[in-house]
Amino acid sequence: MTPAAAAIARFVAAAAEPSPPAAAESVAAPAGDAFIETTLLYSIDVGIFTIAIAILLCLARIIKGPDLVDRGVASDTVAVQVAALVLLITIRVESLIAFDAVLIVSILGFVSTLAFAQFIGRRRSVHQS
Amino acid sequence: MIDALFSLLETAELIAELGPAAADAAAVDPSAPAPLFTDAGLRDALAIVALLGGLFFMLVGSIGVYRFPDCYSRMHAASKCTTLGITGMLLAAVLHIWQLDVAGKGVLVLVFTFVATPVGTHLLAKAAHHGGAHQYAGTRSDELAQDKSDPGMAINDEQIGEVPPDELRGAVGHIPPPRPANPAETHPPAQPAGTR
Repeated sequence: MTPAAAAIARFVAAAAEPSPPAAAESVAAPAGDAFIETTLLYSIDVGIFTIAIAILLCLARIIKGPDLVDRGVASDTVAVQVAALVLLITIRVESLIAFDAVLIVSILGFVSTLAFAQFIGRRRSVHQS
Repeated sequence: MIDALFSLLETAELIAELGPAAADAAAVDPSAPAPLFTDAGLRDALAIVALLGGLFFMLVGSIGVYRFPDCYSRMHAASKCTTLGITGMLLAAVLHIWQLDVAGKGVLVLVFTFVATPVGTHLLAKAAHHGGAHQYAGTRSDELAQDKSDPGMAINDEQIGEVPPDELRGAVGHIPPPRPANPAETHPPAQPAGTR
C-alpha cells in the first residue's frame, strides 16, 4: 500500500469515527436530562396515538354526519389535527424538514373551510332559484 | 446576606481586573455538586406539560365533534379544540427545538390559526344557518332567525340581491319599509324603524 493510500484510509477512518470530545460531553450530561428526554419521547408516542384516535373520531363524523355542514366542520378539524401530527413527528425524528409543512397544512385547511362554506351557500341558492 | 453581597462584589472586582477568563474560572466550581437538570432538560419538562395539555384539548374537542347533537355545537367544540390544541403542540415543539427560526415560524402558525379558525367557523356557521341546517331541539335562542323574519331589519341575506322598487331607484341606500305595529312581538323594538 502506498503512503498516500494509507493517509487517505486514515483520513476516512477518522471522519467515520465520532469525535472523542463529543462523547465526553454526552457522558458529562446530568442524569435528570436523560429521564426527561425519554419521558418526552414516550409522551410524543402517546400523543401520536391520541391524535390518531381523534382523527378517527372526526372521520366517523364525516361518514355519519347527517348534514353537509357537519362534514365541513369535521374536515376542518381533521386538517388542524394533521398539522399537529406533523408537529409531533417533527419533534420525534429530530429534523426540521417537516416544520414548514405545518404552516402549509393549516393554510390548506383554512382555504378548504372557506371553499366548503362557499359551496354550501351556493348550493342552497341554486336550489332556491 | 451582607457576606454574600460582599463576596459577589469581590468576584465582580476580580472579573474586572482579570478579564473574562477569570469569570469562567470563578463560575465553574469543581467542588459544587453536579446539577440534576440543564436548561435543555427543564425546557423539555415544560414541553411535556404543554404537549399533554394540547393533547387533552385535542382529544376532548374531537370527542365533542363526534358526540354533540347539532352542527353549531360541533363547531363550538371543533374551534376550541383546534386552537388550544395546536397552541400546546407548537409550544412543545418550540421549547424542545429552541431555535430562533423555528420560534418565528411557530409564532406565524399560531397567529394564522388564531385568525383563521374563528373566521372559517363563522363563515361555516353563517352558511349553515343560511342553508337551514338541523338545530338541536333544546336551542334556547336564535337571534339571527328572529332578525331575518323581522321586517324592520333593513338588510338581511334575502334582500341583498333584490331590485328596489321604482320610487327608491336612485335614492342613496335601501330605505326599509316602515315597521308594522305588531303587539304580539316577542322582543321589544330596540330602535325605531329606519335608523338601522
